[in-house]
Amino acid sequence: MKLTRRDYIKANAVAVAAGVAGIQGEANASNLVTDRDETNLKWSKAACRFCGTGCSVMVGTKEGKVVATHGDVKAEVNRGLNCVKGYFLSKIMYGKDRLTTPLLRMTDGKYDKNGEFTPVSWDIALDTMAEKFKAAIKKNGPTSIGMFGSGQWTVWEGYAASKLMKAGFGSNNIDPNARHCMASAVGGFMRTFGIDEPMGCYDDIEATDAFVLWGSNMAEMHPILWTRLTDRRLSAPDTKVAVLSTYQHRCFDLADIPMIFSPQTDLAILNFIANYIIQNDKVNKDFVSKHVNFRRGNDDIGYGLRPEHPLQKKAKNADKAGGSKPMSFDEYKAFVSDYTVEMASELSGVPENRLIELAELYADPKRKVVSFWTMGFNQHTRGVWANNLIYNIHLLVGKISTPGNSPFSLTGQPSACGTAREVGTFSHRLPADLVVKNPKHRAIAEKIWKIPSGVIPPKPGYHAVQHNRMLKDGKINAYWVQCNNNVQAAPNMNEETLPGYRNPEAFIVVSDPYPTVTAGAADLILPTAMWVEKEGAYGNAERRTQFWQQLVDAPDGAKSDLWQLVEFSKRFTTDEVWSKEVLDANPEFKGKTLYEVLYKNGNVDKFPLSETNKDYANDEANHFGFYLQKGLFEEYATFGRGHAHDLAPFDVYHKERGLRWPVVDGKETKWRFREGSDPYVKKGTGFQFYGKPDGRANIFALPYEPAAESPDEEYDMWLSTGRVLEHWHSGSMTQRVPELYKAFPDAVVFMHPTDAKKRNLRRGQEVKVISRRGEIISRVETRGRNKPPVGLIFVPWFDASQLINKVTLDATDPISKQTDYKKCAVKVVATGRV
Amino acid sequence: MSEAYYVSSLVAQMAPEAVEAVCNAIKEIEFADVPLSDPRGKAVVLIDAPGMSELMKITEQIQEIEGVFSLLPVYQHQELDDQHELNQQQKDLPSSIGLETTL
Repeated sequence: MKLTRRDYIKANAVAVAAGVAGIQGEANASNLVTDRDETNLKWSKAACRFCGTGCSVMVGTKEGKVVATHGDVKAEVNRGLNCVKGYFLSKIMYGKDRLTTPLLRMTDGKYDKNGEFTPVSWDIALDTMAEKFKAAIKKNGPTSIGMFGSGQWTVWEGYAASKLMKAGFGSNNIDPNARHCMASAVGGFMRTFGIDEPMGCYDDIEATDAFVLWGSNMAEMHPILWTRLTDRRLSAPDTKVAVLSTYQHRCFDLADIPMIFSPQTDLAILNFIANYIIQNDKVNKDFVSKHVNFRRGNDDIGYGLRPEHPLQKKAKNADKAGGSKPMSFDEYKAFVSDYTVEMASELSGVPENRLIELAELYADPKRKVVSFWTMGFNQHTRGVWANNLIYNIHLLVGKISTPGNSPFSLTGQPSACGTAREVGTFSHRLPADLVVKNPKHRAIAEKIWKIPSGVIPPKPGYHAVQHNRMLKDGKINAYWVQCNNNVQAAPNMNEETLPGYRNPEAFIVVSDPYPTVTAGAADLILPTAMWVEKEGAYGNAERRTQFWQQLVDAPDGAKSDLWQLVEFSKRFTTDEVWSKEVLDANPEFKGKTLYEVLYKNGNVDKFPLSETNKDYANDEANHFGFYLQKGLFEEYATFGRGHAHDLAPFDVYHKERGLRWPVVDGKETKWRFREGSDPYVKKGTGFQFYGKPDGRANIFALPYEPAAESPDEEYDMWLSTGRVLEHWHSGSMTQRVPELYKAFPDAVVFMHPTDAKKRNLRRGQEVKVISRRGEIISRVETRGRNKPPVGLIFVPWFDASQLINKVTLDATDPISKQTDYKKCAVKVVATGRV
Repeated sequence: MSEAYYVSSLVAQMAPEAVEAVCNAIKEIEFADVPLSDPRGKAVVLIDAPGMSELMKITEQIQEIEGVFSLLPVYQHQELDDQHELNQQQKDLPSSIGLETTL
């Protein structure tokens, strides 16, 4: 029998699914699949482009195009599974409106802020941009330029960008969009443990007896992890699932302990659990006495609004939000004793028996427990506190760093951990948890980077929300946005974002594959290569670093973020950007280009082209003449090796389905801080939280404090924004996949039927959602996957035709500077149209 | 025969007692097949559809079969005859917001 190409492809499809399902196939199925000559497909691994789960996918290419994908059966994370977004990955690069030429706003052949977008060459684009950046630096110094990057940058893109800004331009005004999603998690880790990122890993899912979801809707936002959690729940029937949220969502289908709480009262519930553990004598005294310190954090810390805002003026500790001082266990015990079950129940609206059931999951010494959270905790004006408070609970009972006992901060973006956090693309950070304000840390960075002392400024730069405020105020005059869609994503668009982007004193550059809302608000758009059009690396939520090769070419005219960054650096000399004092003290640097100083520095250009994999293209390496990605990675890895952030050698990651750092002697680390599992823990200590000098983690006394804005008589409802399964973030990729677009085309206002009735609204009716800052037009949805309680609406933010961030408030956590997208006050009224 | 491909494989989960009925119901659907099944409640579904809309419709139909708990997508292969077909697929998508409409 002659088999056709179609037969081979179908046999391949069946064999992969059989592997996923664990069904033994007919003997010949697996023999067919590897026959590349017959299917004409070249299969290669890649990390998924979307969320922080870090699934590995197999990508099938034919004649320079991605035509097929399937979940990677060899990947520990997803074991061959895909979510619906991952399933359609092959289509994200082929939207009909891919950008292929730089576009500059021009009138009569010259740049004009109010001109029309006009195609220009890359040389004109980068030269115009360089001219604007130089003019800004000359006039107002290096704090007048800025860059907004991404947890979707590859590791080396983020590293090259951070280096260009901090070591090249001498400006710390670089921040990633991860500020909107993970900054509170970082703040929580640093305050409690002194070192960033989760101690456990996804293996905790199969090892635990209880899951507690704090605000997280894993069923839609982390579907593959949710599948693993569901499998655990169904295969080990004693496993309990507790789900807490401000509205009902798909995770409630599996919940043994479902809880809807009033926004912001999670703080009181967390403190109640700590109180319950103490009152019922369930504290793990041995663990606490050996491994924990107690501290009282500053309270009344404000809401991260502009300093002149009345709420900021009123706050006692707005300028020292992160402060704390030592306290004793007894003082802590007295502090949490106010948080009785009655008090927590009254404040949160959760019945007392449910709260006790929840507390018992943590208190019961025989039960292992994993806590999961994402944006519910992080996008919170007390987000760092919420993170600290969940660690309090796990530390009090010693349920941490052992399989199945894990406080687990999930991540929203594919490399929020790998790039934004580990590389340190935040305005206050350097690689491997170093910070700019510490002179020793700056000295380490300057030594590795081979740049003179004094180039990296000691003062942290502007954070994300401040970027937009400073653009509006004319303090940032040249600005580059890469790999994100911040006009759609940032809060309070009308009052802060658009006025900044359209400020005549600002020149805005946006690099993107597609014409996004942010690109539309820019002055120069740079067409950008994406995902497998370049060699890449991402780091997921469980510290797993994953690599992929360039599998296809970008469309003609589109260039990767990395190419853009390095090419841009050629247009500057040190004399144009460094201070006279630095150059006088280091005359050998005079007249050198930033390209020479940062990338042709003996480290980054150390690996020749011959080391690239000949089976794959590498546009950046070929353009610059050396293995750029490897050089950047190996220089970057120097920061962490030997300092508890060890990464494996570059080439290893192209072979593995990722490895969890620290990777020491070729071995990854699944659970940190525990003897026998983490090579950095000293023998005989049992546990060691070595991020802190004395090896002890902190338990913090922190109170419940109200939200920045709550419903009142006029604006009578809470607004929570968020995501849906089918779309990723602002929808710039998933809205261009026909299947995903059709599955969830437009944002809707999820609302309780009673609230709709009270306002004479029908399901499907057109309404306005109005806050003090702006309004959008949408439609009412009283059924479906999200069921808010009376008094709250949920509106997803993926839809560029309904920009819900015109409505949101730019209140942030004063410690992490992360926006609270989950709480502001709105009203919903009929538009009068159907 | 068209050289376009719309090949998908999926894993369906169902109650063990419903395996036979569910698999038969899937096989009834044009362009769908069940090459493998497991009496413990799993089946591999293969779809070889003539176009995207048929593929989406079949997936929905399977999800609606009584006894199907879940339908997990695993493998997808879409290879089109030409660019025209891709444009047809994308014609209903929202026009680019941004360049002129943002401000």
